Amino acid sequence: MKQDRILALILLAFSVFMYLEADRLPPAMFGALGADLFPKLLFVLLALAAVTLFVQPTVKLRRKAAQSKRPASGAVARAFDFTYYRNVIIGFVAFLGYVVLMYVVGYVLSSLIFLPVLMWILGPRTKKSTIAILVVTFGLTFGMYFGFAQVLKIFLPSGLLF
Amino acid sequence: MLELFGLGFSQIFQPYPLVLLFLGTVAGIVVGCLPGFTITMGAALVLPLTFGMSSIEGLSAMIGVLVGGLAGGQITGILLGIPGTPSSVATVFDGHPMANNGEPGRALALGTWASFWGGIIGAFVLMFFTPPLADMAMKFGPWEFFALVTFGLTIIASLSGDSMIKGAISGLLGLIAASFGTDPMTGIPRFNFGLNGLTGGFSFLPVLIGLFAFSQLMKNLEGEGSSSQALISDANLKFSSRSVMKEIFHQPFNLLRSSLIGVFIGALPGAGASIANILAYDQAKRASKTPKLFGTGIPDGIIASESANNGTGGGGLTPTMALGVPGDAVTAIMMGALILHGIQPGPLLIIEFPELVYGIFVAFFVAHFFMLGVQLYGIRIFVKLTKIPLYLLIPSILVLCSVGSFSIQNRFFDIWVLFIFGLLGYLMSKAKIPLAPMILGVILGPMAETNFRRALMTDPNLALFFTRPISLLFIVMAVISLIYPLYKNYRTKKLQDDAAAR
Repeated sequence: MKQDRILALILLAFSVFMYLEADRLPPAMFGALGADLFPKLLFVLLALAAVTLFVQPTVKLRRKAAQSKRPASGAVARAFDFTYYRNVIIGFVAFLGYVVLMYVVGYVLSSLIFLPVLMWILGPRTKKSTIAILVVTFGLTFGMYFGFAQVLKIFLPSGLLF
Repeated sequence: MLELFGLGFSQIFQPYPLVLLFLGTVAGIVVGCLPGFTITMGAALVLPLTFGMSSIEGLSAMIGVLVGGLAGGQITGILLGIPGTPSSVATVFDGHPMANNGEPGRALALGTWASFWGGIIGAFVLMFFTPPLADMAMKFGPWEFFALVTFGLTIIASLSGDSMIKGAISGLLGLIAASFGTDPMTGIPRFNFGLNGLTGGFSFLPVLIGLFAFSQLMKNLEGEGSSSQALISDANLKFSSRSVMKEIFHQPFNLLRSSLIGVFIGALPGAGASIANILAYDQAKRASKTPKLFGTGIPDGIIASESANNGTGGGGLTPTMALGVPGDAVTAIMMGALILHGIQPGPLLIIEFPELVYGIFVAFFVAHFFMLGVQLYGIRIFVKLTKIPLYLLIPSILVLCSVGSFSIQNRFFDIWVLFIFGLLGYLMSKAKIPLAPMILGVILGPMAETNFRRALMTDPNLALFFTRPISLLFIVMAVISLIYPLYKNYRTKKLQDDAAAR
């Protein structure tokens, strides 16, 4: 409930901001059918949806309160469970690092670093897993390199340095 | 018609397309059977691999993924009790008990054969309904197309997820994402915020891979990390195809009804295999003389669920090719594949590229034979694949995601788009906003806008959307699809209240 309201506010702010942005687009050459028309329509609809989302919980709560004749208890926000999301955060951060690294040193080197590091963090860290990590890292990086670039003729990102 | 089929045959029955169709089918079964990896994700990841290929080769691979994926979900569903994809949820109800009763081989063979027949029935519908539907759509003006897109978006918004308003938000976000970049009609750049990479808007593929693959991978990382799953021993995977076939043809009505439910749900814009399998199971149970036996491991349930989910393939491709309006997220990607190969789906497709359309029909048929062979005889390999630990799988697929996003236009910017939409997709799924409407919005955005403005340019009278009969029909259906969930919600609430009052 509470999260939905925050979400609604974010969406509302986004649609207002984008509407103003659309308003700055050059005016149409003929009639009112400019480049801004359709996006503006979408932002108005999104704003309406956001308002509905914001109001909805109140209506529901009020109905529930009326039914049970008891004041509805506000949604208690659960404490953010860090351990549950630990690996997700690591995943996003690691990928961000991978992209930056790829930008600088290209696909091959950045993959050779990203793959074993993330696998090692997520994995069980045994002798067997270390071997598996190394096999997959080299197999995938060079397999893709040859398979994509040579056979399928698909380019791989090259960095600023290589 | 036969002539055109010959043309399609000659397109597909060549070594390269056949190999790609086969590999696509295998890839589809793999993503299908891995829990947490969906068909949509598989299709999004295979799509970039097809760039270097000709359109028929690329589409063969994609068709394989679709068919294999729809069938592959049952493997883990039956053996582990965890559906590999949402399309096989109802297969678990009877498939897993049957496996637990010591007949996993029989359950898998039943499911695979049911998938095969469901898919073939779907293929016939695809083949016979696409041309007349396209013919009908030739008479559509911009009003009808806009109304049709509106209907497609409202129905997916109301069907996918618990909250209709969140579905609508998702669809709108997709349309908004598609409006970035150059205006399709006047060529004016929109919302580029001074970024060079945004001049052309967001590329479809990184958005797709971000929303459906990247965010899903991150979701798989939640929790303490999955412990190794206890698999049913590989010992009893034996089956007899003959007795299984007999069992299936013992219930022709169940098979036909379930397949047709699949075809219909698939063809309906917005609803796909994840809904069809549960609906078909439910209907089979209602029609059965022994509904109490459902859930204990009887063949009826497996047949219903698996024939329905493969039926959606042919059903979903029909409007995708005839109208240019995909049936669900997976066929939206198929449509994206056509567009990326420079082909605009719609009523003109079958006239302009008959060899391609009939090639797709033939490929769709052939894929089912590949699926049957691979899944019946390669089952042990797929069972082993599900044992690959996630700590190896997830980073590897992340690398694939970034290469796939980069490869369409060789732009580094697209890898950032991938990251941003991956993050967005993850946050959306945490906020319980369904992702499927968004992807339909992204792919239908340009079509919606162009037709809307073209209609107004032809005649500024807005009432035309409501006075042209076919346009009105679509708009009425759109309104119904919005109101129906509200009504259903109200009714269940009323029933609950009545029960509470008693």
